[in-house]
Amino acid sequence: MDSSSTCECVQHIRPNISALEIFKTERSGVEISVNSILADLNENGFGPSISVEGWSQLWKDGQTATTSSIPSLEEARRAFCRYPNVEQIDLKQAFCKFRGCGITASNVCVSSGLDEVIDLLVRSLCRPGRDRIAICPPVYHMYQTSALINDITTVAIPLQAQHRFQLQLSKLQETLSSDSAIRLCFICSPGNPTGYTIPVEDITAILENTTWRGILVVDEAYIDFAPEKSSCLYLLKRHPRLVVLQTLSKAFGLAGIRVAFGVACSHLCQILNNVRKPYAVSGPSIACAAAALTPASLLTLKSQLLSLRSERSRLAQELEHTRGVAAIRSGIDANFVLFEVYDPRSPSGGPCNTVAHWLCESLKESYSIFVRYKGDEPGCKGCIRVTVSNEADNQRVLREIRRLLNQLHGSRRSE
Amino acid sequence: MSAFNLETCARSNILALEPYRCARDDYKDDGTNILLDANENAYGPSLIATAAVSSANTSSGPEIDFVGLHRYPDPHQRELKQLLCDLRNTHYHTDKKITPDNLFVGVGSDEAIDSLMRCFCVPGRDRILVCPPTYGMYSVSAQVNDVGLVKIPLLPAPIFGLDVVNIKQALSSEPNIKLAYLCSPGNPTGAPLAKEDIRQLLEHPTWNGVVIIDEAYVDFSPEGSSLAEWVAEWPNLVVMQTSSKGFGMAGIRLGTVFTSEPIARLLNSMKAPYNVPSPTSALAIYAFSPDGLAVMRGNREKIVAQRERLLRELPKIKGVGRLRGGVESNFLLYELLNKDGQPDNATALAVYERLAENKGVVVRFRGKEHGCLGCLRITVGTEIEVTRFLESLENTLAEVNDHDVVTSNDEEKKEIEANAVIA
Repeated sequence: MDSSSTCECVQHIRPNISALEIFKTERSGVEISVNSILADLNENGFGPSISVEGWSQLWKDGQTATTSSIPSLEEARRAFCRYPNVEQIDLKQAFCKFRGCGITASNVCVSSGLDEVIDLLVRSLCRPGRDRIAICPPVYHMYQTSALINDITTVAIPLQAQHRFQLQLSKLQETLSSDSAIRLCFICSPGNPTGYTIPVEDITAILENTTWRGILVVDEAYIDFAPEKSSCLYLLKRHPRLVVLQTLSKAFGLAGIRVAFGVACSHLCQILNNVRKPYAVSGPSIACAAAALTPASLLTLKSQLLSLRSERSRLAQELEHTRGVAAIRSGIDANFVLFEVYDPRSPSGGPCNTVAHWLCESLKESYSIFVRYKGDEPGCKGCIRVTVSNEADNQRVLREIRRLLNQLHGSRRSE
Repeated sequence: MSAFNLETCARSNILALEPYRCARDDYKDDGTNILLDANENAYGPSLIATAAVSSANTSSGPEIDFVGLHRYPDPHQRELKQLLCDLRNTHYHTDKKITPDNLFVGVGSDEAIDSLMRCFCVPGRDRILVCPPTYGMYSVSAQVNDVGLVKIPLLPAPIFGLDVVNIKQALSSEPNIKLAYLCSPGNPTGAPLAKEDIRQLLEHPTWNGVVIIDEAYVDFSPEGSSLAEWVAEWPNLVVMQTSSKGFGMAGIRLGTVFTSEPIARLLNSMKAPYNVPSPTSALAIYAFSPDGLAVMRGNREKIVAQRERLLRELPKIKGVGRLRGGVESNFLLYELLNKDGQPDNATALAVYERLAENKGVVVRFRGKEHGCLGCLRITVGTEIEVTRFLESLENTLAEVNDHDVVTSNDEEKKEIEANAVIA
């Protein structure tokens, strides 16, 4: 802790948190062989409550799904009845290799979805009932939810809705500089639901603001859909006050396994690892995450992203030319499109939440199509967020949106 | 009767939370719905060869839908919760039935322990009551939450029962105790707590707080031991369980809370919406099915047989002292003796270290816990493992006691370190 106590990334850690030590067991740092007898953690060495037939079925499915990634039945069995490894060095290293940017395993905190690492940051840095976080809406709701749970207030500096949802940089800087209770500032890039990346220059400007001493968290959940070099991960080497969040839920298509990564200066990362529950990520999830970071799987990812990008452009273009759609409001850096609808009966023809709401409900009730109503978010009046899917799905979505909006606008045409 | 009042007991910022609702609550990914609301990747998981897999599953095995992993998990897990209710509605303790509305499922018991503290304890002000020797995670979680501890030790070994008089006294006189974390069967004691003792705490006339029973090991206890269904009778009782022990699935990280509907609603409102991963719930659903339960019961018989064997064989080994706890778990707490026949931490630590380093047998040193002088906690293993453990222990004890155990300067530090291991 001696060296870390001087690093600026950990100066605001709550005293009860900095007093924590890393979770250790007898097994920490020890080579466990198949010959070891593990009678320390009260596991059930007889194995999981899965029958032989059950295992062979699971094995068959698992093997087909991930081919080379499940080494042996016995290893799988052990993985299920034993507690997962606490350190997860292999997974962290695979992630670092994939990302580059000079990060190492000591910079990585593996968490149970981004929600967990967001919560870890709030818990570690913000004193309940006293400190604040800053957010830039419209944005992912979990920063604020986590603040609520931790009895932390939120300061909102909205994005510029009419300027590609970019930061109000000078206003944000002023707010941060004038309020020392703001311990964390969350920025989502590419933004959700904006789909615009925040330029690295803006991120750097905040990190170089010496009158604010807090931590800047950049949530890069959608970074793999953005053009190359959009990530600010490489800034980490120079800026210990930066934390970058990434996940396997989006581009990697593994929302079901709940695996995400908090990347931070090793001092802060150590604290996050001390606070996190040691076995927060399950054995099967770790196995899937490791499989997703193998070279073969990364090739799958690459080809999927190619198809997704072309579908994204097509969906945005076609929506833009759909009658009743006022505008495409999002950028094209994520895997969704945010579009605005208007009320044909209104003389001004402005964006309309009633129509947006009706469209979402009708898509769901009539066509089993689920999209997300965003009309109540700041700067998103009349807006709907639709995830880009495969060609067939996108085609169906476009068809039903057009059908519904044509019904709505039909009366007007006859006037 | 009890002075419990949820509205004044829980934190106001938590009471204000709403349960997570999403468009999908009534609609599943069944092939007819197009789900474009959550920014998942509809192309499927980036796992190779996924396209070749059919998720159709004809046998009775667990159904992990590898192809469906690109979807967020079910935030409510009602199917899993119903199976847990079916398992625990035994009617040993009440005629009432618990339903999925009485349940919260999380990432191991660790999430449950932490969530309850976050629901009820104001950081820097409130406290929890624990009864050492007990599971270490309660105090770790208290530290993370900046919550204080009130310790009332269990009655002496081998009963390790609740000190009801002193606990009730503490609950009356110590301010701001919100939760009492009790472990039954205890860890590392292996001893069950008396139901009547627990009832006295639940009926405390002035204490506004919640009694939490951690039943991690209850599946190794006699039939009918679990108090899970008893939560239907009390507004202020929580029972925690896990799939890590009896069900042999520590790797999947599933913990369950059984409690009153209002407390369950609070926990479910506070949790991250997608806290339980899909592979975990798929495997758990299998484990709680008739097929999985049959395997669990078969394994339990084997464990009980090996536990009996250890109880027979350990006293025959020179240097093994008294059994210090109960026999209702998958571990046993035994004293180790020095040359003079006295329970001794230096001996126990030396044996613990040599077993791990020289024999590849890892057990747990518990000598610094309250009332556990010279004790090792030994998880019951398979027949082969127990055979090797017994041989290794006999040799190692002889080695340690034939040579003087050198008490080095860092002996105390080593004991503290070895004892500090939690799980």
